[in-house]
Amino acid sequence: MSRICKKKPAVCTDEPLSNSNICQKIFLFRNILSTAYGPTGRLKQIHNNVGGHVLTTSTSTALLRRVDMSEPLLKMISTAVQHHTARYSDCGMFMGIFMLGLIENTQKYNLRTITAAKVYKHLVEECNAYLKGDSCGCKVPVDLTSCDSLIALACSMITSKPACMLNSRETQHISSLIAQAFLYSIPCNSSGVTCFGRTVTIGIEGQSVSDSSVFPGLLVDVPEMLHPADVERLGSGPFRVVLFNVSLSGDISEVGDVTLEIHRGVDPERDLLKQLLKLGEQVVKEKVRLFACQKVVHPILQHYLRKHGVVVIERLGLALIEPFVQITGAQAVASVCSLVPTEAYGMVKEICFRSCGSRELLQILPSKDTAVSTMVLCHRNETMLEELKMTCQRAEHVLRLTLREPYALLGGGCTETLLATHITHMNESSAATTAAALCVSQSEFLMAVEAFCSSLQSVALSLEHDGQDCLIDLTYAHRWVPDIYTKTCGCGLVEDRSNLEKTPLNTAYHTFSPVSLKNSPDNQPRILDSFSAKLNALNVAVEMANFVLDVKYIIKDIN
Amino acid sequence: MSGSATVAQRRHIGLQQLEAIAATTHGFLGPNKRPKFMQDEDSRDAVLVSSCSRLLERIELDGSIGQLLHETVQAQQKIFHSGTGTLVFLAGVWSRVALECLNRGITVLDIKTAMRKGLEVCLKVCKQSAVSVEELKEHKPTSAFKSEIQETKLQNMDVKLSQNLKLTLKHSRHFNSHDAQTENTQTALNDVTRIAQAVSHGCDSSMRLVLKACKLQPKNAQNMDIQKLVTCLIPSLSEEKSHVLHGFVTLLSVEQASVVRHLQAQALNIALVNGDLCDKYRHVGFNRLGNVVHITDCADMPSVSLEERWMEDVLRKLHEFSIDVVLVSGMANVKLKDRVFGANVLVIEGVKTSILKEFSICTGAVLVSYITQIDESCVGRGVTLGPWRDFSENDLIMVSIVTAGTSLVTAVICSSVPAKLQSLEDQFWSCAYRLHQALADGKVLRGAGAVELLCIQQLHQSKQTEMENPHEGVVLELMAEAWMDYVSTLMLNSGSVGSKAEAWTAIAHQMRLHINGEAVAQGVDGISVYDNVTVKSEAWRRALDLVFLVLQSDTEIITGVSEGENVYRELMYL
Repeated sequence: MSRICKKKPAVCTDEPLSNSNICQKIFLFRNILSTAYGPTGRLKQIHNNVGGHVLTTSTSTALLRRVDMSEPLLKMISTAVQHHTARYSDCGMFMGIFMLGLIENTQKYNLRTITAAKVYKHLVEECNAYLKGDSCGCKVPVDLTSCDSLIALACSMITSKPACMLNSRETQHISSLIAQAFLYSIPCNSSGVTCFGRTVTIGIEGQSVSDSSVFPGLLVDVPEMLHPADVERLGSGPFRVVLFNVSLSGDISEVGDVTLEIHRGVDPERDLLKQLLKLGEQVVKEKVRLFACQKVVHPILQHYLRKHGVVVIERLGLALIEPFVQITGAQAVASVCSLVPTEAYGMVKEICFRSCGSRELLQILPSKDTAVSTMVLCHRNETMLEELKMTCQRAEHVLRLTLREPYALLGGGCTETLLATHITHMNESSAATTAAALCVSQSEFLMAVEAFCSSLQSVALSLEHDGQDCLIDLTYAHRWVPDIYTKTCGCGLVEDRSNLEKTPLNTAYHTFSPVSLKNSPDNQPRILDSFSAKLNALNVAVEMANFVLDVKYIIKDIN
Repeated sequence: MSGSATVAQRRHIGLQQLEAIAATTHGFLGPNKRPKFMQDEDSRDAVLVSSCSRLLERIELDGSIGQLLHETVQAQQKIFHSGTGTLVFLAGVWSRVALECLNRGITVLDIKTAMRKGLEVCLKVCKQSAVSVEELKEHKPTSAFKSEIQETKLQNMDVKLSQNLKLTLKHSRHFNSHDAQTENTQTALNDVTRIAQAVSHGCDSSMRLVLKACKLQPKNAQNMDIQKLVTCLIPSLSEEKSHVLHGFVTLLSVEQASVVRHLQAQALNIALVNGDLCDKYRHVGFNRLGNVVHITDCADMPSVSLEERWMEDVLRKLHEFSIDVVLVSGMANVKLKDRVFGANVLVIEGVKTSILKEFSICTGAVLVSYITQIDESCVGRGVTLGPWRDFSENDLIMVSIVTAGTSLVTAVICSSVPAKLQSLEDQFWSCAYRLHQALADGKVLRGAGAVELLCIQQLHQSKQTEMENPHEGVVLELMAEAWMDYVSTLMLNSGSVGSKAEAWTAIAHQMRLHINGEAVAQGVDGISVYDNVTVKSEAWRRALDLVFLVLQSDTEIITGVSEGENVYRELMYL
């Protein structure tokens, strides 16, 4: 007898942004992001409800990956930020705070969503034009002929992640390692189309940060059964390499979740092992010296290979397969049933033991220039190491983005204050004409401009967490903190002087056109942000905010 | 739908929690540990704990602060096997310092800068006041350790005599140089004894075991090889019976005695199995199929089972390669164990992989996952069984497995109170690691609060020098007070004072003496106790890291909680 369950009707929420529960969650979300922003941002401890491992972080990537949202709108925002950071590695927090600020301000100013969307779209175009233009005051060129600006860019990223827990000496060390890894990843002597190499990051817990280092080639854990004598016995390279990306454990789990009928007298395990040993025979005959596998290698096959002087690396892991292919030129073999084709073999120049602090690792050096290096990061505890690893990977990626657009933006909140001042000033005089062109009323237009600019400023305000005021100077429009021992603005470009007029950032002040500072080699900003990342974050934030504001109904299937 | 909830810690509950957890461990500081009984409400089991790492293992810490503290302590314990008491104590008192600073309206950034500077000052004190281990030679060992030195002398005499014999036979003109070398070995050992005494921290009997173990290891090495130490615990035998033996010592059931007797005084062959010795065992990473149906089209089923066939196979292999001893990292099939008795093969289960590896290096045996894969090249040779001891009252016998050239040494730890065994084992390891670390550092620190007193003094001094940060003076003052708390707790625990107030007076007195020009060098108790430089400075660093992590955190996010499940109060939902 079958029973039919009546389906529950879908739940519909209209005007989700006027729902107080949803608004409260948006406010909480914004609060979490803005309290975590910047070098003095407060850390969030994330763990599951059964007392699992605690993640301490203030980066948007780590935070959003772990935190599940219950509201579809928040989920959408979170996903957008994660997509952005996956592509640009920086400015995820900026995007989140700015986007949520726009949504909240639109409601606060009681703007019609259609008007707001139109004006925001217009303003972000103006921002793009300004930031990409030559007269832009918040952009500095990145000089790729010297390491200084690369290190400054890396350093700004590290200092903005307080959970890395580095002192100034350690920050310097890590910043130069990132720059070094970036330089290793650019292939030399290549013509035509070139590809970036790759930096593999591994972490060692319990050692001092100063033991961190970058090595050419690939570093892997020393296989359990490998002794230094085995490596010495290999002699000098280059060596032939084979790589498998299927399990060589000798099981037949690939068939999936089915019922197998096995005839008595047939032993599939034994037959598979025979097949594995046949593979072993072949690679030994063809003088392979390094046998690598992504997954487990059957101990009997391992024993056979070792007996014939082959170094076996098993359980390489998916993450290392691509760099391994890159440095050896081998093609990953995905079958155990046929012989290894000759073209699948690769080459390595050398295999050696390498110690990093007190840990021994196995270094695999490529036979040709492949621009693959390994960054070994050490830190005293797991939580801080996790954050450091992620930050370094992202920082190196940001350095790569500078090759596409060799610019950086002023950091420390100065870009936000400058941009807000510029946009306010530009639109004040031309308000009537622009409003007419956009078919909105002038007062509505001015309100939307204010909502937009105050959202930008709220990002700069979020840099402060100790209850101090944020100031803006009325000449250059840079961001300041009322502090007796800092003599420069947020980014470090402007020196303080007695006649520089400043006012609290969140109060009303007359509009002005920011004076541009000429860059000179001896006057460089200390704090830099990624140009490409911030530009994209700004655009996506506006687009997402407009999208969220436009949502009229949320329909949930609760079956 | 699973969502996430957050708890905002506006009032810095985290620091308060850290302080509270740390306060429960104050009794573990210093040489006179006050053990705690911990009772499990559900199982009614009671355990005796006397170290922070064991305590934290036992308490259920569901909040993120407890978890972080636990992780930090385990990391320190894993590397150094000591210093966790200091770490937890400092995490607690420094949390109080941070809280006090917050109450006085100092910003988190300023607290961080100033406390980091305070730590730098203290680490500098550590660096500067470290004494090289050579300087320890000048101290006379106390009676507890004198016998050790005499023993060493005697042993060296033997060595000298035998060497002399050889030398007179051959190159007699090298006699003098060799003699000098023996002399060196002896001094080296005496030095080690003195260093060991200095870092024994009141665990004299454990440290004596460590020293004995050290002497059994090859003499030429600069340091003891801590990786080659093993412990074997024997209940219901008095503590004085603890001793060390060369090789790998393990307990066997009394049924295996006949096999052991048979194998005595022979050169034996050994096989090493990394995994279980069972027919059903498959290596790690081998995925079994869930649904397998065996079908057959003939009626006459073979009468022997698969297990039986496997067992025959194993016994044949054992016989073929004349294997006498099998060390297994996992379990062994019960039926097989019964069968191998008859074949006079000794099977020992649950052997750590590191021990298997050592035997592999010394005997040439190759670790195998399946005994059936074994061939001539996998068999190790030259293993002997040491004399065995019978503990008939426990139905246990103890046997040592020795090979030439191994530096494996087992400490046999006995106690008539079974509940103490765990603590004694922990004590042995912390002594071993302290001695190892002292020899590796080549330096030690004056203990019994001497370095901490210097820290107080230095913090006071740097408070008076230039300051960029207006709050630095306050923070350094509070950190000095935290050290006062540390030293006074140490004095109280060691019984040299009756109350904390008395301790504070004593410390203040010491400080005044210093102002009058005398150096605060000797510890408060005047005993020559020494600490490890690296262990101490790492514990300090880790404690401050933890306090900073908590100080900078403002929100705890719990994932996998749905709205409506009202388990937590004061939660906001995302």
